[in-house]
Amino acid sequence: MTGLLRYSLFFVLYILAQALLFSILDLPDLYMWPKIFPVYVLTLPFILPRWAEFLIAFAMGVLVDWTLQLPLGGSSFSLVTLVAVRKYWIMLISQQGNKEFFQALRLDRESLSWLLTYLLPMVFFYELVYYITIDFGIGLYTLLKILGSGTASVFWVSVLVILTNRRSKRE
Amino acid sequence: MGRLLAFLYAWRGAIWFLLIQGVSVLLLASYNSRHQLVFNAFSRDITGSIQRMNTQMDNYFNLGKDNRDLMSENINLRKQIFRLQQEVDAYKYRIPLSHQFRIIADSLLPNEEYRFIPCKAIYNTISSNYNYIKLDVGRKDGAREGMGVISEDGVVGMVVSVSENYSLAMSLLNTRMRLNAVVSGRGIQGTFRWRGGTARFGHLEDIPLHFNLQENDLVTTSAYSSIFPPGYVIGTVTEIRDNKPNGFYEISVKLHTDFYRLNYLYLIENRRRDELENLTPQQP
Repeated sequence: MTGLLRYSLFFVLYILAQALLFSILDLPDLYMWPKIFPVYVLTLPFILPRWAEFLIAFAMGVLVDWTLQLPLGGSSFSLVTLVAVRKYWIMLISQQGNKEFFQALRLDRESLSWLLTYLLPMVFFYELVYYITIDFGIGLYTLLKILGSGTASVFWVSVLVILTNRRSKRE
Repeated sequence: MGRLLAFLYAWRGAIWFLLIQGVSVLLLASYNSRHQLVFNAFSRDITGSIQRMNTQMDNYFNLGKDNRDLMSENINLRKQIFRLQQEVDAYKYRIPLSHQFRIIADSLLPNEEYRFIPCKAIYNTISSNYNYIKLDVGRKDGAREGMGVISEDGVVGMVVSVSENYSLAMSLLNTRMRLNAVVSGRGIQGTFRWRGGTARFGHLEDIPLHFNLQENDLVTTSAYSSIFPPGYVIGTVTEIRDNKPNGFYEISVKLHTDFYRLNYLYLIENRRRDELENLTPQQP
């Protein structure tokens, strides 16, 4: 129950943080718009059934699009894709991936370097999927947005992960 | 049902993924003009493809009926050709030159001498010396022994046995088959015979060496034949050799009918055959 409450609270917090804080950090001239809400779906517990993961990702995407007045469906499509591939990425970086491994996997117990290896490429992947979906193709402008926003997101997610990781270590 | 459920259970993750992504795509297509344009064009393409496939499938399933229609149309056209050919012949040989531009008298016009029955080859051999073809028409369809068998391309054989629903035809590729033939345009009469071997070639026999022949001459059925109408194609002369000891040419004929791909055929009946064959010379 505590876990459910915690994840529900984080769900709202991530959307609020994105809407109130990280949208202000937008640098349109450099095509930089950091996004941190993908971290929420990436840190969902692996014991959740697939359908629940997909539904949460979809709901977050729709809420983000609606709150930030983005093209509806773009974020949900990209977040669901992200959730679908995250296990395969972990299998690749951990060289293991059976059911027991994922059931025992707790992201808050992993090392900082592992977390960054897991999260940062996935955050970049999110930007890639999102802008290709929104622009419905890949041109120079799309590439610039992917690179700019990807870099900004990677930077802010790194900061967030390092800060939260230090704090949890101290605790 | 159990298998289906097991399949759905095994692929539930993928099914959920596709369902939810489908909803996302639907949202994108519904609320964003750019995506709407692309999806509309895409759905038009898909609808067009499905309709095209549907039409193609309809055409495919109607092929049987179309073939029957085409065959009956072919029969009518063939009848017209024979009728016109006979009119031309009548014009050429029977009417004096001074009357050439007069309307041909009804008595000179041919009756419908030949009758056609469309049929299909259901069995065919080509590897034996005595090849036969089974046809899907029998006595109840009007098939009779002694009828000729032709294809769109040329002569195929002759009906030798008939049951209620099926017929057996001796193939042109049967060493027992002899056919009165003529070298078209030259009027040289001979006998066509297949001597075994390849299904592509036969031989024209009994042509004396004093006749002048050329390669690519057309070999057709002769007016002497009581089975086939005259002028129906058998094949083309491909090789002529002098066979001096017996005084006849050795002539190879490339068959027009592809016996490897026999499918839709026609039985042809000469309605006056009995009358013709009953005429025997009086013994002195």
